[in-house]
Amino acid sequence: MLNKVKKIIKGIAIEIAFSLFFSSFFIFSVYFLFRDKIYNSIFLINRLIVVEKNTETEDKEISFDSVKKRLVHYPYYGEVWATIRIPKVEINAVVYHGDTLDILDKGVGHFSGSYFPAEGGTVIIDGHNSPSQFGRIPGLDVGDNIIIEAKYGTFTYEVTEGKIMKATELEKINIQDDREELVLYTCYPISAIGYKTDRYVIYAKLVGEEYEN
Amino acid sequence: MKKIVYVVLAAAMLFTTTSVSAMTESELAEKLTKTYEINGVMFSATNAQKVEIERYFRENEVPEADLDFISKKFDEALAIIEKGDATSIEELTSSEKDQIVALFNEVSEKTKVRITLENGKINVYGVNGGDKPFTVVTDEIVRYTDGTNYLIALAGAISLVGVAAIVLKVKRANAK
Repeated sequence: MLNKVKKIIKGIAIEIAFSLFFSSFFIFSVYFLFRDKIYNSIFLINRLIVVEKNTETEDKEISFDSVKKRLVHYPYYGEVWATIRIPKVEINAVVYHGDTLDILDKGVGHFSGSYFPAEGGTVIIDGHNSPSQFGRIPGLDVGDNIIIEAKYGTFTYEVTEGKIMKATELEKINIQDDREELVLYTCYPISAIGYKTDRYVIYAKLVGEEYEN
Repeated sequence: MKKIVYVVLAAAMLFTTTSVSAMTESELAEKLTKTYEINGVMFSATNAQKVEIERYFRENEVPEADLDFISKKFDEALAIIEKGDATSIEELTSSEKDQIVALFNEVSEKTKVRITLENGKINVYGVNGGDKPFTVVTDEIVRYTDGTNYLIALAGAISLVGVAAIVLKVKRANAK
């Protein structure tokens, strides 16, 4: 009787192990074959949700004072205020004001302790190293364009440098308002598993600006 | 005649006193972002925090009375740090931190500038109120931006173990 029970349990355990193996293999294969399509779909769904939300809750007009070189009104923390496009590596993501983990799950984040485009200072934008956010920024070269389409204008930056830095080094970045500088960063290495202490950082200078009336 | 002179003098003094103690937004912003030497060490807001403070006052019209109150509480916070031995914010004792948090709460309760503390972050709300914070101030600049999907990584690991088990089974069967 005991042997029979042991045999049944062994059989069930083997069935469960094989089911787990095949379902994991299936999930793993689907992810790697269709990863880009999955991320693009999530990105599009997020854009739709954001567009609907913004229509309902937007109550401040974000505009730019070119004399004071500052925004007239600022977005709320957690509000979408721009889209970032990097044609060379096919990045097209919404930019939120703020960069908490909740925000980064939805799009790339603008570090709120940095300036906004056209304010003439350091602008810091960070995103996850997934394909729909900043996973492809290591593919950028000097001279490549980064375009930020904000609610108050469109700003074109040109990459001046790309490098790997320790997070502790990046923590000492000088946030200044002597000259406009765009800094993008993401965790590095991109596809490694485990805790990451490095960041891939892109520096870019402002080369073009067009303001909304 | 004397009464009139006294009234005029009193009014002048009151006016001058009010003018001297009333703080403007730019003055308070400057005060909050200055460097102070306390216990032989220089204390100041980081550049990032300075950007946020200046942005807050640019966007929000804080009443004069609130500006004065915040200035007073800031002085009290500096006095707490000065009284102790701390040479950095991290070295403050629990009691000193509690006292400073109490000052934040006072500002929240008695002025239009609502501040809440949450998991090491300071949520600062605009003077018009609302649920959305105007800004969230943190100590650090750099975020953890790893988008690794650990569920997929686990699925991958299980797949590998499964493949290894099947290969082993086939090898054993062939060996027989």
